[in-house]
Amino acid sequence: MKRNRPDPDRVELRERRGTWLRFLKLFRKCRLPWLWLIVYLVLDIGVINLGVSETDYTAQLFAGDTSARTVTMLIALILIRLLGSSLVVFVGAVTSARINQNMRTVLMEKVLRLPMDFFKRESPREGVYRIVRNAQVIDSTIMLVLLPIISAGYTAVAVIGRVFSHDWRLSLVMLAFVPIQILIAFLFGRINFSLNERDASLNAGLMQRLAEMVTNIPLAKAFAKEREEAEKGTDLTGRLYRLTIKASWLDQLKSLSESAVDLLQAVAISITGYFLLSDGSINTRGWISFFLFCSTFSGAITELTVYWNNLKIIQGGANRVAEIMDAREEDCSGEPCTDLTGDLELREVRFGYTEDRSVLTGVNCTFPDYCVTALLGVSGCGKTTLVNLLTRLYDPQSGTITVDGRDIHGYALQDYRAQFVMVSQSGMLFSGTVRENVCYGNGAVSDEALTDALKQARAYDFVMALPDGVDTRLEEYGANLSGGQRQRLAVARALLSRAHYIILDEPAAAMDAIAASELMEVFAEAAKGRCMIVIAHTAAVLSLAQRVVVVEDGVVTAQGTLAEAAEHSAFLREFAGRRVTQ
Amino acid sequence: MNGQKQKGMWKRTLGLFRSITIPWYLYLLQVILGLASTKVALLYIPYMTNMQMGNFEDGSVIGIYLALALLSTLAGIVERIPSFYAQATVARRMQNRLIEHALRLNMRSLERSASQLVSWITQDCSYADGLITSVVGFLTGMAAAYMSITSMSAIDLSMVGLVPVILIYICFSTWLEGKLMFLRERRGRRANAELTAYLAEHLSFFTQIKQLHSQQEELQRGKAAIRSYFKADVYQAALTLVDGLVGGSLSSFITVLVFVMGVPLVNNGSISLTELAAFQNYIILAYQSLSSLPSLYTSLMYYNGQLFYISSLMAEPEEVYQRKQDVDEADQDLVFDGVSFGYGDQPVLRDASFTIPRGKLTLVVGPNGSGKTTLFKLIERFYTPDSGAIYFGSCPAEDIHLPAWRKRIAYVLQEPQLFDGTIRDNITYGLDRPAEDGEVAAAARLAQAEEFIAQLPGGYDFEIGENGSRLSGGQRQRLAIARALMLNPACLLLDEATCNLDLFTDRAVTDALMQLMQGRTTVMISHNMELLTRSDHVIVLNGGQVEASGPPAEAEAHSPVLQALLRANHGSI
Repeated sequence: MKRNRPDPDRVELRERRGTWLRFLKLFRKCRLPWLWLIVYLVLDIGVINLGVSETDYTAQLFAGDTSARTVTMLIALILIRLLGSSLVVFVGAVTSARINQNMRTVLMEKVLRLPMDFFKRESPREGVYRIVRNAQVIDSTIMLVLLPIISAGYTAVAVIGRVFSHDWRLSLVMLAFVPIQILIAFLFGRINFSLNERDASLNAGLMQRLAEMVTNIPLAKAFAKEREEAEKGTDLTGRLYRLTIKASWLDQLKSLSESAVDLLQAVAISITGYFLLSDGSINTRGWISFFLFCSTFSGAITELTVYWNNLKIIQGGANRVAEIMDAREEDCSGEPCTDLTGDLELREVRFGYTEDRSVLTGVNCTFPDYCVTALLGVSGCGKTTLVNLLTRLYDPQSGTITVDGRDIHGYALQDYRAQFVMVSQSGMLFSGTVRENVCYGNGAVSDEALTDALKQARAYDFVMALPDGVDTRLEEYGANLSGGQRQRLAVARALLSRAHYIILDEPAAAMDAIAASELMEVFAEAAKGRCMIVIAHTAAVLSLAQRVVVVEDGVVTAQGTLAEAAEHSAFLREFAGRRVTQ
Repeated sequence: MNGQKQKGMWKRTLGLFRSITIPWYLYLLQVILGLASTKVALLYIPYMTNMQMGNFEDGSVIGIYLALALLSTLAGIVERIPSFYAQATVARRMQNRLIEHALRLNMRSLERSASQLVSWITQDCSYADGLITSVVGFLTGMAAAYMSITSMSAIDLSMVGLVPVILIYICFSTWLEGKLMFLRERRGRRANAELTAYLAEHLSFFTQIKQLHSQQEELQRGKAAIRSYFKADVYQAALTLVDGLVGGSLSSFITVLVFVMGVPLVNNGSISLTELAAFQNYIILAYQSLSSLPSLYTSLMYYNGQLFYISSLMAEPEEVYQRKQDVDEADQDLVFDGVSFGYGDQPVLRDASFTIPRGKLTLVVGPNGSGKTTLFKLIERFYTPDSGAIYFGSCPAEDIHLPAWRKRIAYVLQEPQLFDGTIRDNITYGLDRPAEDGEVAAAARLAQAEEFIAQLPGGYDFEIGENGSRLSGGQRQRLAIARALMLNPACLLLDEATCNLDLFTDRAVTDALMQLMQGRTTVMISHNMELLTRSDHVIVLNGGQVEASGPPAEAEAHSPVLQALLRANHGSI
């Protein structure tokens, strides 16, 4: 992997050039609330102008014009600006909220259409969660960087304009400091930035280790390692302490450098003012307004540099979002289909999650219709992968999969997947009522149909015994039910879906023998008139299956009835134990 | 209303502060430097005002102005140094104290607080400094306000009358801000929780959503969650508008008041324009000090509230490690005599009496929820029986030193706890001495882990990720078994330790364990009834009670539950 790693500097350059283009593309895709943005900008510019006028009137007052008119005007300006700036904050917050809403929706729509293989480096679970959390990056870019840059820039220009109207030489002194200020801010921004980033990741790492240490305290107790762990903890907190102190010193250094620029500016301004005032080329009012404006101006310039640095921080997140928005979606074209039936057949199917590592290397097998087939093999042999290919979560690299003799890839994806229903190990229950959970993915369901499904899944009795029957709320992941109860609800859901093909993934894992054998009867009932595939690595399912398919090291080594298959597979003979010889 | 409770809380918080050494000198330094910095700022103001008004006189004003500007910048920076040292020091000492306590905490208290313990240690510890700092800040603020008011009154006494007005306004706006903040946070937290819960729970089922073809349904639900988040955002924005108008208006109002009162004074000649400008600059400084004063109460309450959890945890009892005697070298029977135990008012084990014979293989069976795991935790002495006692031979287990007791037992859980580190680190975790490569490999071989370790990049140096996240469930279990075997324990407890393994690996591991533990005490919880014929002794639990205890044949004859379990097993095989 290290061999062809590109030069980091060049990558950075290319990324930076691409960033702006990506930003623009993103803005187009995420439906910005343009009207709100324009109102915000107009208001903001109005408030800036009010501020400039306010400073000018203050200068006029201090220059000796203490007339009632000036004072009234000044007070009016202060109050209007107060109102205006509050309004700007409000409009800004609403705009932010709108941007976030639009962005989250767009991202969610997109994510739901992503193919499984988009998530190669992380589990889909983490990936999806992180993506939707990342939605705020667009809002941050616009409201915390782009718009503030505009308003800081406008402030600087407005101030220069006003000072220029008093005396052109003063505005020159102001301008002369801009390059120096930018240079220093840039230098310190750069130093700080690189140090902070490294420290932040170091800090996060230490925090994580501390968190893990704390989580593992029971382990330390069981192994009587309390003293060693305490030492480890002291070491970690010590390192955190040194990191914090270092960051604080850096902060001090940064504010020192900023103050240094301010001081230099104060020196230059004082000297200029002294000469211009003493030879009478400017009056007191011009000087006072210049003096007051100076802090506004240098504030605006500092802000500009800060926002510029912010932009760099945001880039990473924006890149990631842009990458997702550009990603290929699942192809939904193809022939529509309903009520598919028939045998499922795999011919010479090869597949690997990465190019260099194959999971399935030439699979040939059949899952006959109206039959329960057990898919057997040791953990990691490729059983789940095979099922993922059947439901078209992934596409095979070569080979064909057919249903009733026709290639499954010819059908429209959504229609095709609707023919399958999966009952997973956990049952996929979420917080919500029993009814919501059972009807999930099945559209509108009548009460009778719901009752029938619950009865058929032998869930009716225990559901009715719950405090509110079908309207009882389940906890997160259905934690207030037993494993068997969760599976029954999942079966009821599968029955309601009217999908012809039912896939059970390790349905009786971590269940005691009594509960597991009861569940098998439920599954047998559900299998009537359907095609069922059961993934298993415990022998309990053999009571359910009419046929078996054995997967070993990425190929099917035996299939058929148990007795037929057992002749070809030593694995199966061992696995099934007594049952084969019966 | 809650006076009694409040008092109790403060008492606990004070106890928390007594448990660490507080660097008082740093806080003292903070006060002294704070006052010095205010003094410099007050000296600086007249010169700055003269500069602002263009009164340069002969130019000496400029020199002093610049010198004081430099000095006040430096003072502002130096002032912060003791404060960040104090903050980091207190946080570190608090963290160390808390970790030490958590490690010695009794298991029940630990389990109750387990989910929050991490955030208490990583975040809440910094609140301890917040409490002291708010008091220190109050004292410094008072002194600074007093100093600025003295300087102001030197200009004109009548205008100092503004100060009480400002103070009242500050109190009002602080109160209002607190109220609004509360409303905002409550709404914000709710909306955030809703969205997060939706994302975490629903979108985490990404694969299943596709399998259940429910994209449209998810989209509708997701949009609803996003929409309610948007509404909460707008609600918060409206509150911010009010807050900004009231809170942000103070400095504007001060300026207005200064002009309204000051300009007539200038016009009738009692003060000069320069003095008016100076007054404005002073009052801004005074305002900064004053504004921190009314928040003392709120911040004290806030920090006290935040420290509540830590101080409660510190009040929980620790385990007693030193007991009466060391553990016998020779192995003994483990005898439960009328042991009852429950979580809160929920009984788990009721009046359990049985013997786990030494040097034998004992199988513990029973339906889910019958109390099997609790039984193991009682053996490990993570819990103390509510009534009854456990004996090691004839000696009460309670009398044996805790570390020695736990060191002779190796305990493997169904969901083993591993830590981020290499395979080797994890396998050798329990060892008090450096391990040889050969030993580690032997333990891995016995646990059927050698083969998969060899295939991992780096082999024994492979980093397994947080809680072993880069390994499969079966691989994690085998690692935990290897770790237990490394200890060469006198007693081995296996709680469904092989349930994530496929049948073959499971058999191989079990065979190896039985071989190794020949003649030593082994206790297994398992759903695998094949083990029944291979074990020497069986304990059947049902609903927290011992239904049978004895050799397999005897137990089977006496226990309907065991018979049912066997029937269910035969039915499927």
